[in-house]
Amino acid sequence: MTGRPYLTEYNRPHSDQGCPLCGGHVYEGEPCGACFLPYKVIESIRSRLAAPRFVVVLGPTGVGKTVYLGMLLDLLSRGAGGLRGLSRSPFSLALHRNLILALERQRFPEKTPVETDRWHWLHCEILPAKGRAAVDIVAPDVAGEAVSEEMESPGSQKTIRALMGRCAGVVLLMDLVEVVADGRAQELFAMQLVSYLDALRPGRKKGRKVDLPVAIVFTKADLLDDGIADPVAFARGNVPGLYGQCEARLGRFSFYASGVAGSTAKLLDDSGAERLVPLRVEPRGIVEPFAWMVGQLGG
Amino acid sequence: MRSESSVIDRLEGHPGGAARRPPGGPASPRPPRPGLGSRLLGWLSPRAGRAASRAEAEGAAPRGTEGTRGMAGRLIAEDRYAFVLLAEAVGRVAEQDAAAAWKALGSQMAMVPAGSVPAVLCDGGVAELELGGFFMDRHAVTNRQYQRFVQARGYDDLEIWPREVWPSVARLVDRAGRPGPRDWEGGRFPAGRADHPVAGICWYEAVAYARWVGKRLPTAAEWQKACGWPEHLGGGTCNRYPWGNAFDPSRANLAPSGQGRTAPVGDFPSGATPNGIYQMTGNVWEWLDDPLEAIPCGPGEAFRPWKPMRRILGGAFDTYLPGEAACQFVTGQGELDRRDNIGFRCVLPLDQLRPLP
Repeated sequence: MTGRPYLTEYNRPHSDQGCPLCGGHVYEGEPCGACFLPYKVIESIRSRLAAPRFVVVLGPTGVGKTVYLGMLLDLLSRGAGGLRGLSRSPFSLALHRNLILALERQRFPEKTPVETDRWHWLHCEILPAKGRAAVDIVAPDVAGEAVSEEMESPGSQKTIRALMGRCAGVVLLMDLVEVVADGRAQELFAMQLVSYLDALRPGRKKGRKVDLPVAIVFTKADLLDDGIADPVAFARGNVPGLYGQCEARLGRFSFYASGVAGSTAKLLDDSGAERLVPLRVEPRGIVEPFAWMVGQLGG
Repeated sequence: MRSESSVIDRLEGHPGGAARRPPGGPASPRPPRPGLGSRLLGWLSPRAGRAASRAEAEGAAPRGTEGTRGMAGRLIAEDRYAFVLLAEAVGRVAEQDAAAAWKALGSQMAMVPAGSVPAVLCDGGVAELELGGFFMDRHAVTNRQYQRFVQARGYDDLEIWPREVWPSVARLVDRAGRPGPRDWEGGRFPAGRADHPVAGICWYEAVAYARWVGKRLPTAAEWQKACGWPEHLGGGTCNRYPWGNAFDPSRANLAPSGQGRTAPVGDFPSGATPNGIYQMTGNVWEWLDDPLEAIPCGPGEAFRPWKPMRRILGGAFDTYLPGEAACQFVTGQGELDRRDNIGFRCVLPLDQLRPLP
């Protein structure tokens, strides 16, 4: 995807290598011109000897991508599920910090803006249990609207497209309460994503499945009083279309249920808008899907 | 159906007289709780005829057969010594029984003296409240204790359940569909967990148990006074934890302690209050009497829970932020939710008891 720069750009200092995500042209201090990977991420990746694995956390707006990623970072920073995560750059800590400060005030963080240059990224070194090599993970906190836009018109969101084409693993989030109570919107969105993955990364031979670990996580499990004892059985019973599609198109997939808040309530603001607030923090099922995915990455 | 008031009515020397208060006892800050009130009916109301006929209808022994001594001994053995020590029962309980009941109470409960407390309200505000003295359970109610309630068919005794939950009591079952906490099986707690706090019970189950033992759930203000008193640093709203203001993972079972599950109620002695109340921080959240009607909100924001909630305090084995286990924290849970990290303990107001020995 490297392209010839325009004439007006000939005098700008060139970066030595191409973009680590898409291979595109990179100018010193600027985001990749092709996939908009921020320069701070490019710089952070270049400071490391080994190439990182890109991981993408996807799902519709409001499903809890920021909360999932931020909580994951905080848990990994303390060591959880046999993994320990070391942030490689200060920008990694911004997402983490924003989440914890919001949770301490019994609030969820603000919605991720749709503009690519305002997304938070993380670059973490993951140290697995003994006997396995450390691996660098790079992941953005993408906006749900951007994911939807890319599903509707492929190619419109270049960062999403580049990530989906290059990533080593996908965490696909689904809002459990909406799955239970609000029809099939979540399931259809997830099916769209699986289909998109399949179109972008077809198996080499006909009939071959996409060889990419995909963890499907039902979020907000704390809102369901009974919880979910068996996420696979839940998926078979409640999102059968998605389950069938995963079986047909994905070589490696696994279902999980997660929750960050121990209890939630709603706040009503002056304009009549409702927002969900966490009444306390009791993370469950956050590290497990990620640990499964890291285990699937191999050498 | 078991009916406790009829059992109490069978005691000898039933006077049917008016309530007697211990002389000089502190005035109750609020009227007696419905649970304890209904328990007292048998003592307060001249209903001997009704009691006798109910006893006969149940095929029970005639009045007085078991005898006060036998009854008192049984109540003490079931941790229901509060009934033996009620002020109303002074004339009918032998001194020996009262002494045995005081002994049981002293081993299981600790006294929190009367006084004021800068109580943190649901909305985050602070109100200086005057509290009467009370006893508080040293430990959260254990599986072993709760099993006595289950085996005594407490779930069938609607008299001790708030009326609004009657339609739902039949749904409060264990894994095998028998009455009991959510994670029990066939009316029994999981093996090896007798001394762990009972969890998987909703607020109403906690209330029913408290009424069965003649106690009630604590208020948030009482909890704060018992947990954060005496305040060492002054000027604030009590200590955050029973041992002071700085969190220490070795003193309480929260997520940072790394245990990841409940511990026996006698563990973490270094985290006990100075008067010997254990695990007011950590292990399981504990149900309080107070409804959760607000949370700290910004300008223009209003709290809208989608189901009735009650406050809980203390934090649990999976409480991630230690600050949430402080005794000033405001959180809650739906009244009918049965979580594996919420249990309870009870209190007994001094003004409902006979004079202290």
